[in-house]
Amino acid sequence: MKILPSIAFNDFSGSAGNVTARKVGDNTYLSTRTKHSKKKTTYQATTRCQFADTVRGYSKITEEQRQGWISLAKNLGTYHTSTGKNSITGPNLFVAINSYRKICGKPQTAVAPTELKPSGYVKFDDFWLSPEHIVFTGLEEKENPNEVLYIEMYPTQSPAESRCWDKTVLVAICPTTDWGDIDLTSAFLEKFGAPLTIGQKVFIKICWLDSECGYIRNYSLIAMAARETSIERNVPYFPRAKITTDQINNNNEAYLIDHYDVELSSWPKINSNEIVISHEAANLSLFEFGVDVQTNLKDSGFTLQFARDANSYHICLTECNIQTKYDSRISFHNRTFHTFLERTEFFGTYPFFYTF
Amino acid sequence: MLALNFNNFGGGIVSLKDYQSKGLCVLNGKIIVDPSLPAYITANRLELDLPSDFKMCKSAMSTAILVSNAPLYRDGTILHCWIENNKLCIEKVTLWDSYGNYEIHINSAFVTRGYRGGFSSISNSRPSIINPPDQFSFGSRVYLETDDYVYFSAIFFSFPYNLNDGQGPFTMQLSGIATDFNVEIPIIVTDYNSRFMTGSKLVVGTFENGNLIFNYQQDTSPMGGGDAFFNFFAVRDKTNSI
Repeated sequence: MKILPSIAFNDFSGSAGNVTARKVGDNTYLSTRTKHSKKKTTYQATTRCQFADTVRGYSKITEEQRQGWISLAKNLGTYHTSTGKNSITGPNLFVAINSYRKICGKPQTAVAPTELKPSGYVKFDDFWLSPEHIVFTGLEEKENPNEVLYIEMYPTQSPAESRCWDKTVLVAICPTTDWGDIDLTSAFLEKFGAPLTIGQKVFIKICWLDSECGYIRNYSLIAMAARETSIERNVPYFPRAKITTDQINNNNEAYLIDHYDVELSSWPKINSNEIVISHEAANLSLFEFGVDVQTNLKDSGFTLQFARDANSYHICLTECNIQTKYDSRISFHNRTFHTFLERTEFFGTYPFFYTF
Repeated sequence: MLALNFNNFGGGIVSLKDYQSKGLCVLNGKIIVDPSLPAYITANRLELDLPSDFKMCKSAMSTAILVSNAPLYRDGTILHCWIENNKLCIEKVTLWDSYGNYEIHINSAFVTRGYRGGFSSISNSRPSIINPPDQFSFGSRVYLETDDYVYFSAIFFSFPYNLNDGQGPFTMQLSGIATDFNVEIPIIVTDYNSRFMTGSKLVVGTFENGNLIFNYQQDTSPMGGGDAFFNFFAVRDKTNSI
């Protein structure tokens, strides 16, 4: 809606065609309907549609509910948006809260919340912003289960662009982290269509947002140029030492690797794992299979660990050999005389000893 | 020493020895579970509240060992055990509920994931058995000792067999290991003939002053012999805090 001050109609209000006149104080304003001038992308169309739905939602709530939003807006004083502080009206607060709720996958709420829990700053250990990797690590655990990570970004299009905080757009909503990691590489590519180039400046807003509340107030701001090394430790990107099911190459038809999840942690080198192997042929005492040579766990060592037969609940002691440093092979040797029966579960946390 | 005052299965206060750091914790202790309690029956998994200042609110998967009250063998199995939302969570297995109260032994390490630091190699020192080799001898063993805890896993080539050696008590004397950890550990003593039973035969032994002491419950059904094994973490006493 484009608003034009008018001197032609001093005491006129109402609509005629695409023109609406309304009186505010001593002035009368004419408004014309406008159309989005820019080309519509699917994302833009979806966003506008969602916004229109949310705006229409306000007209459908009861007067009592409206008064609740108006009262909440008055009590709020100023409303913090991603573009700064503003005073806000009841209808706009309804739209703001419900827009963020919708982004987080929550249904529209007609009733104003009793309190607004503001979004919070984000702490992290390190951050890579490179053409290949946009990864936060060591993000703190959220205290509120409703919280999600809300991330907006804007990659500048020329070196001359600066202070682009009003140009950032939503890139990702992350309900959980992967042990403190958030990998935004795919989300960035999907949103902006091209990877970063070294030296390209990026503006990032990131916060913990209560998805039930939808109130963005505090957020961390990061403006930096893409580079090969991390922001804190200044080291090139390196992955975590882990192997997952999709990296297993098992050519042995006698058994099936149903689940494989192994990762090394800290000192002393500790291996935490959950592995399930099913096998129609009973009485096996050895599982051996290959690993993708691209695996991130490049090591050579073994754990002596428990295994459990899923049906009989027998406990076995198993030597798990990971030979991925110079080879790409993993094996499980049953050290007890109880053979693996039909389905074997390996799990636990054990020291990882070197073999040479 | 940790005191876990609240749980979801109607149990009493649980005391656990503990070593805590941000990335690795070790817990030692025993939980008594009464499977007849309504709270236990309705629980999908066992949960014990950790103190609010416990250093780890979430861990990767670890283990506990269920030792049942079944006659003769105290059969049991390993259980999934992990930390989630500042609770110690344990898989619920009901196979031995009909035998009354059972024990869950936790002698495990808990770690977080997402580690991107460097790694140092672990030296596997090799404790020796002082007893005659026909009574105790290792098949394989790995032993790790830090200032705060030890890890010890072993499978035996020779181990007392109750049909030949009686009920005990037996003492395995060791050299080359720390003497300042005292811990109760389940020992898996299933013999070859019991391969199709449910669960494994267990005895609970005690490490004291670097020696392992245990005895069998009876000597008329086969238990023990070669292929007995254990696998545990234990907190060294000097790190205990009251």
